[in-house]
Amino acid sequence: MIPLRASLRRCAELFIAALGAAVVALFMAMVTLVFVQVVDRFIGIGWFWTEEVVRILLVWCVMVGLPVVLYRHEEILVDILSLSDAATRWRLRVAAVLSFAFLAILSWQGWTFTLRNAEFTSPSLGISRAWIYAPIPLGAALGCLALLIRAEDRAPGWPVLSKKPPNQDGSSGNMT
Amino acid sequence: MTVAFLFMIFIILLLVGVPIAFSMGLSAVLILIVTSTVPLLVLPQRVFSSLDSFPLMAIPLFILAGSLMNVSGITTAIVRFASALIGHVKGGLGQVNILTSVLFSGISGSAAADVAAVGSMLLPAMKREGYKPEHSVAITAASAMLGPIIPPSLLMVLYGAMTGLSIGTLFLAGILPGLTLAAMLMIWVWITADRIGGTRHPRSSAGEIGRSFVVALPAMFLPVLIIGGIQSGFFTPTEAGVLAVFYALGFGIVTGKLHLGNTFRYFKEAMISTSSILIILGGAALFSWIIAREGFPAQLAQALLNLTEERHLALLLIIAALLVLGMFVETISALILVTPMLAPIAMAYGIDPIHFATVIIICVLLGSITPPVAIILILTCKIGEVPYARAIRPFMPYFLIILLGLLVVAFVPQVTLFIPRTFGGYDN
Repeated sequence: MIPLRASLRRCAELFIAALGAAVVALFMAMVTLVFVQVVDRFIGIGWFWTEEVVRILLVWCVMVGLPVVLYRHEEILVDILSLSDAATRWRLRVAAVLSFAFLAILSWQGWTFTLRNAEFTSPSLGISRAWIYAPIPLGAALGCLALLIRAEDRAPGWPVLSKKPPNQDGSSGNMT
Repeated sequence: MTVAFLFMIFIILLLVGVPIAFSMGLSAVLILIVTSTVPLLVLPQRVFSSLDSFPLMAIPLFILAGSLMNVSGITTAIVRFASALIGHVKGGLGQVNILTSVLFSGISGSAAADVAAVGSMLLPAMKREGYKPEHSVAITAASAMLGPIIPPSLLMVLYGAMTGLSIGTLFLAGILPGLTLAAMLMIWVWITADRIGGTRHPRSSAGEIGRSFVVALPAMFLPVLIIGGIQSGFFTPTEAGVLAVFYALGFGIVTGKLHLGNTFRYFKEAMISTSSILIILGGAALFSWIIAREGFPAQLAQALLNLTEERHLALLLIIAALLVLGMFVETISALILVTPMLAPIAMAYGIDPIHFATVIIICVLLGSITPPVAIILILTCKIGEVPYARAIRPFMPYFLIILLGLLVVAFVPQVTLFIPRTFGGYDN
């Protein structure tokens, strides 16, 4: 949304790469813990907490991955309106503003929800429940930031200069 | 009324181009603010509880295992084996394309992965051997449908996580429908072999078949490991996913195709794809909560019951409605949207839930090859460098065959339930 100078763009890319690395670290930790869980079943150490940690880490992964998805314009959407180039640009900007609004609400309410739960501890881990809910406000806030700093002309449906009609391929995203 | 407004706002946001996840979330938030005194705190709470699920972890694992196997050259091995086995049959590489998809389905859980792997290898080969590109593209897109039907399947993991049905049983239920569809597609390629161009390969010797089989064996062992592991009760689907990842890592290291750099990249891409999928589940959480609170699923079931008490007719109506939805909404989003509304209908009509799930999954999948927005066909056209408009006509017969296959699955429950009942101890 906000045009960035080349140096700032590099900073933004680095920031997103760092989030990507964090996602990989969390994902690898999950894979290891599930493996430990399988091994544990056969040798019986009784590490019953692995499943809960994996579930918490999955929420962290999804929410920390969200800004990366948005920055790279990989969010799944429906793109069937075919308008003029100028109207398409404004349509995509309105869509970004509305997305921002939703993430801002999610972040704000998520933060309140996290604070309310901070004094409780999780049953099997004994840590504050704030750790469990924190990825929701954090990921949503980072998602807002990603919407602000991403290059809007990299959107799949963004009209290119050569007067081509907007992308008529339809919905993006295809992991089916 | 509330539900009607909810859908209206949702559709407007969708048309503006707001991501599906946020369209659902924002419309639900607006409805909540206007029509009720429930605090908005329910939003983060619902988002959290929709993601807080151990089975969902299987999704990044199956995506990762599939891409690791692919980079390690397993697709080449599968294509060689399939061509040695049936390259001489009428339809040549067209038949090979379908058989490759069947075998590749056992390591991939999605149609897009299937198209990317099988298409990028077979489409150029088919072009070289004189097959008409638009027909090659049509066969590739049609056979890619097998990816999410034959286990493992991301759609089945999602459906199981949303409804609490056994993912292992869903996996078993997909095998026979997948093979039935594959057989129907192969028959059509056989009948129309003269129209699609190309030449058959000479028959391979038993030695060649044997050798290519040994090289492709690691691909065929993976689904056995996953399904066998789950069915024997040793592993949950998520744990089977981790074993599949370790197996794929081992295979990649043995074949020398994996190093630290690309392994890191595959881990990252698998999780980022998962994030883009699961955020829809998060966005849909409050939406589905409002729909359930308004009693809409029960009303929908009742409305359908008032319309007809005949379960086959009800199934037909559901199929028709889902096909229309699939024309506009992408597969996973469609599944997440309809599952909470439709699952109670199966109960109202006494339809077996596993059978119903398989029908719904094939239905939403069919949406990904229904023009105008046939996303999988579009993707295949990009890989095959064929204009989308030119591929639609030759693709129509394949579309109709898959539709026919769907009707067979819908009206002959045994196709879905035979394997779960015989081998999975499913006794419903």
